[in-house]
Amino acid sequence: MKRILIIDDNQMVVNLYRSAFASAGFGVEFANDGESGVAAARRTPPDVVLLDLMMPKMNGVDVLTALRQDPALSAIPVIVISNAYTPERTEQLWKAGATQILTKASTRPSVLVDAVRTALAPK
Amino acid sequence: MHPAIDLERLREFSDGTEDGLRTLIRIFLEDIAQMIGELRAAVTGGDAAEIRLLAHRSAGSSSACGAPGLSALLGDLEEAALSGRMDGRAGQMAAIDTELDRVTLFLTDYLASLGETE
Repeated sequence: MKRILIIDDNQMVVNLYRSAFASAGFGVEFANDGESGVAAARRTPPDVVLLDLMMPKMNGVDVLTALRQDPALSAIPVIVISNAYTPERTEQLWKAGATQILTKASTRPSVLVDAVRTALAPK
Repeated sequence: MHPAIDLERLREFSDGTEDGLRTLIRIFLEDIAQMIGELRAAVTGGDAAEIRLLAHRSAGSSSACGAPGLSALLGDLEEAALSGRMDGRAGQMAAIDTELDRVTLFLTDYLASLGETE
């Protein structure tokens, strides 16, 4: 079973995603802020990370940078999902190594699950 | 005008059963009412950082649960708090309350149509 780590400070959103991914056959873990998200990834590296942008302690860009700088975690696909994009922030995320960037408001659960499957597919 | 709720989106997030959808709707209604209550208090108090945080969080829940109009209004308030444009916040909060009423009415009517009795 593939494991997904959801890093998002919104418990309602986490519960929705957890339900969608559990139904799709993924093992799901979550962290409610950036700092604990990085710690959780270091403790047990997931197969894929779903990452919010605006969070307490460490924002999504900092989390992504920390993951990419850690040799044990640098190859893990990271899908960023948020409503808080600006052109500058989007550019920052691509430069920091985002695998995919999605908008929360317009991404249906099935599309999100497909995006994760695509990120996990052998290249 | 946006539809109050994108029911298809909510259905996709549920476990595919009517019970699952009912539970999801109840949780969303409780959660969003509480968050917007906290936001209302922050708007009254004029704390821009708290307004921004709560508006962001509420917008995230609303958009994830398929309430595009509510999410857009909350996003506007978040943006205003971020940029320090707080003079219109009472009017923005009133618009959010009106949209929350619309979302709540839509979902409670929908629950009733499913045979919700609580």
